[in-house]
Amino acid sequence: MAILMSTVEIASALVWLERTFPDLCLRIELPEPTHEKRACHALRIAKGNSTQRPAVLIIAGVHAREWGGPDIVVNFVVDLLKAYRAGKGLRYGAKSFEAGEIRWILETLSLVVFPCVNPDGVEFSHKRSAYWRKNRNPKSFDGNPDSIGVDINRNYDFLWDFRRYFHPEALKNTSLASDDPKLVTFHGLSAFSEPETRNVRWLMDALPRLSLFLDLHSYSGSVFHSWGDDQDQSSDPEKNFRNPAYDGLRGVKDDGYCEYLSPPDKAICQSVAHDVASAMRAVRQRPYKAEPGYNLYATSGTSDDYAFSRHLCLPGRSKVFAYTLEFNFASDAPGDEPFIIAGDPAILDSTMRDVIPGLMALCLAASLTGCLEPQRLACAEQPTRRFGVDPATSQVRYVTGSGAQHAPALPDSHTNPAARDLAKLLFAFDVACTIKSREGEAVRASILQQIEKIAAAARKQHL
Amino acid sequence: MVKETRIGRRTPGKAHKIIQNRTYRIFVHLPPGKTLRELSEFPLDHCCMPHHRDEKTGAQRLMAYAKGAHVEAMRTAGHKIEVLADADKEGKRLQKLISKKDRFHGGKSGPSGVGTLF
Repeated sequence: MAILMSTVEIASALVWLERTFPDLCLRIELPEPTHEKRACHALRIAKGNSTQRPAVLIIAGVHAREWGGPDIVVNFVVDLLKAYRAGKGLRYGAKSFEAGEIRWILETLSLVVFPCVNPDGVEFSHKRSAYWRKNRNPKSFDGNPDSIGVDINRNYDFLWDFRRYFHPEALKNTSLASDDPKLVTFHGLSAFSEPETRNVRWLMDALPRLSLFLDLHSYSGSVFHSWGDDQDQSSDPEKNFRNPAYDGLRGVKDDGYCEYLSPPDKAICQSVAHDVASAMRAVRQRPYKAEPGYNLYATSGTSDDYAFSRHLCLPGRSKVFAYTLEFNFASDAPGDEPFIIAGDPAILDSTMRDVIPGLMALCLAASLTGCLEPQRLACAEQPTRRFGVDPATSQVRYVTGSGAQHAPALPDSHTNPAARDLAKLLFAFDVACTIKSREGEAVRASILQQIEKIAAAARKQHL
Repeated sequence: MVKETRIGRRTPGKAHKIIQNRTYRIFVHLPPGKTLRELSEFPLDHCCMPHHRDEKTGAQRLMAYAKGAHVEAMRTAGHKIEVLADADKEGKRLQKLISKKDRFHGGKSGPSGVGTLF
């Protein structure tokens, strides 16, 4: 039975992984130690030279009291590497992954994990106050022990200055963020004021082909996708977090402002989240669901919105589809303290079996983001796209607002050309389903025609 | 007559002796038309905790953590607060189960994973 790892053991486990799998693992010391001078480490997992590969970044141990996150991530890596080395598949309850899928992850992606972002807070939660959430920054200490620390997941540079960006009504819910150091959502003295958030940003900067990001939390049984500041919409690109005309209006449900998410991006956001939630549900039918982050409550300065917003704000950054996974569920039974219940070895064991398949599914879903296609590495936002099928080459292409032509994502690892073309077309069809106009109908008809052509040719060749 | 089981007999609002500086896990019951704004003056910790809303009546139930002093203050202000558990006590119990040493001896060994290879 698994026993919750201490912060020392989390660090030792990473050393062991690098020593045991030297050809597959590289331990990375992050540039900034914590306020209590703890060194922080991440682990890069890949077979062969991974510098040019699409990257997936998974972080955990952000909110100190959400026990089990680091254990899930470390055991995920252990399972992945053991299976790869043995050339075997992995099974968790009713969910299994074939050896080929494990190989695909190791040989196609650069997977980076940062299992314990906030070791000071985790240590304090393990030994002193179990419900501690923040880090242990003493800068705002005023004699009240609650005034120590910053909520790391309100300290990223995404609408950080919440009083300026959000509606006064939204400010009344302190889950959004707070400038009162005594509260659990204290957002710090400035964006990226904390070494923990700067370490995460450093990792994002160090991974130029970062495509997927996941921040592991507990406990609402959800996989949250963009956006978290407000409800999303796909009809008015002007309504976006960069537009000062909407400052002071964000964060209120069913009002005039919703955050823009282009139809293709929304399709990808949803399908990746759906894959992750489905994989977790498949283990033993726990009701994990995919939903927009705003469904929990409006937030400012969170990691997932920051990660997804980077390609819109910082030139040349890759588009990162970003998620917050909240594992486990509320219980109203006395003694089932949802945040820290993973301290119970039996619960920790079953939680790890539930959640690791979600992390596997996230990696496998990298193909859905189009990150395997070279020209999409550093894409600018393209709110208006027109799709079409080139009759000469049977290639599905889209034209962006700037007039540049692109082929859609190459989302799969199929080796058979017909299977590859079909996968591309099916993906394009999925995206085209989000276009509601007559143009969408024409594109869908054209894609279906191409699918029929390829299917007919394949039938001739193989039957 | 069917004897009521212990599980089925969870008693909402079971009297807990409230100690001012202890942390309790509570349900805050908000009647229809009332929102969290009513509680904004209390330092209620309900982050990452789902809210339940009854679509028919509009009543809400919110899980949260609060100090004993604030539980009493909210009750005095007329809010319906159901104390579920003494969270500090549970915290101490679960803290005892966490590893106290380095089982991996600085990297000489490691965790075994939880998946089944096939």
